Amino acid sequence: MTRILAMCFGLGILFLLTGCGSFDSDPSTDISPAALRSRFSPLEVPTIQTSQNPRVNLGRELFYDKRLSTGENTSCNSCHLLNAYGVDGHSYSTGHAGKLGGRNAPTVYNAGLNLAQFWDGRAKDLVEQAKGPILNPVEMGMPSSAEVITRIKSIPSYAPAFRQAFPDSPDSITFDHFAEAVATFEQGLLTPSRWDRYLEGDTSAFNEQEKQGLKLFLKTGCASCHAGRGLGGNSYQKLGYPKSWPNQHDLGRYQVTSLDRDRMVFKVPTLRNIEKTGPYFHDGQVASLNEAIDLMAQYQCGKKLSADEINRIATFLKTLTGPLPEKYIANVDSAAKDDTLAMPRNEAANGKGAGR
Amino acid sequence: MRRTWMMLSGAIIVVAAVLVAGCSSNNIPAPETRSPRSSSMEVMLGADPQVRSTVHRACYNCHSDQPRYPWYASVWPSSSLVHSDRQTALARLNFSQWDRLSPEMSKIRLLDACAMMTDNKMPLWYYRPLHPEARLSAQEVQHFCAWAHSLNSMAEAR
Repeated sequence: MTRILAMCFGLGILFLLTGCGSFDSDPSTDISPAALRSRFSPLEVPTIQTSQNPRVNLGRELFYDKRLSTGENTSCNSCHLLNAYGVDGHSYSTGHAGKLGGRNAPTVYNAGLNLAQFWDGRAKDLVEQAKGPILNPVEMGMPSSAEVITRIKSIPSYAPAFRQAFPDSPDSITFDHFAEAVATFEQGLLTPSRWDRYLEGDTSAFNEQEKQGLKLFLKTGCASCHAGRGLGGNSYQKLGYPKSWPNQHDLGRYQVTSLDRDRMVFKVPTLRNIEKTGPYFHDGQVASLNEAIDLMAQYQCGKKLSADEINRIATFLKTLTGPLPEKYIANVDSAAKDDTLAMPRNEAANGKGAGR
Repeated sequence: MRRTWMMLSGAIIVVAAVLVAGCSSNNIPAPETRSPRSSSMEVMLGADPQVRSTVHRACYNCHSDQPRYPWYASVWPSSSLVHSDRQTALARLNFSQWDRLSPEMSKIRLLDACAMMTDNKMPLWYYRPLHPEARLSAQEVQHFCAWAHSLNSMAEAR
């Protein structure tokens, strides 16, 4: 009898509350650093003197070197501009022979924190990733790994640099070593920000608006996916859940696994430096950060935020912008690899720039 | 009188049919979109039998690709609440799709689950009266949390 009464009561409550929409059973909105550290971790930059590391130096040189593309006009830095937060500001990047890439070039900063690389996670780490674009016909367009090695060997300065970077290998100039050097350099592309100071206990790192924005970020449920050291980059999620994403042309991880469960599943991008890394999403179709927040709240969290709420979350997200590691990315020998000296292609339009 | 009864019965049947047929999608994943068992938390992390039994009994209805729906999940308006709650639940935690998480995120999800159970926020208060089997004992919560913490200690030691 008691059970029946309880069921009736429960059912009655259910019926009454159905019109209220979903219950927000958590998420915790405790913004004390101690509470936050259960979901987020501060970014620690290794204190090793990386500029003295020959493998890092070699990786940096390779990263900037346009001669390693078929047309000798494209380097890693052409699409991942290190003085523009690792992006080029375009929806799709232009590669070999003016061809456009199929997805928005993600930032290379903090990419070492990701669980895998590329939007669909098809490379398990930075080493595997570094072997992709150089051979991709719409990116750097080199015909084969053997051609890459031939090209590197034709540039005299690389022989001693590879020997220093890989002293234990009799044949130091290999495609694997090329990728390893680029990846080692990329591992150091880290940008701690005021957020990390806050997490470590310095609550004065945020003003009142930023704290309110953080609270709303948590309350909206953003931290379900954007958590951890990178505030993202550590899981795959279906894009457009609960609401179906409008652009269904690119099926994301399905293209890697061919499993139906992976349709429209993408790697969750990091939110570090997010104000600087637009346009947003895998298709780069959203130019403004506020619009991206609005869409995410609707399509991933099932919530419609007001303009004021969107502004508050954006205010918090801007605390995730860290200064660029100017010394680490400095391109010393830049005769043939001068992307960093040029203004990013969209700088004037977007107000992007190094260190701003 | 007889006619009135017939009309009333007819109306009840029609309303019941509309309520059942008109319920929104019950959100049971189609077989081809379900995750293989090898992707589940219990397999990927090698959960012990007690942890498995706890999460299956108390969590899987909302937090997995294998829900067992009660009758009221097919009747409006409760169907819409069930549907919406399940979507929120899956967005936050899906035990069937553990292969989509990095070790860091796996740790966050487990410790979150531990905190939610310890704070008595899960299972949801309004879910419990209709699902007495989902209630968790203090010992079960303690065991789950101890297991989750031990995994993290092992990961950190590596």
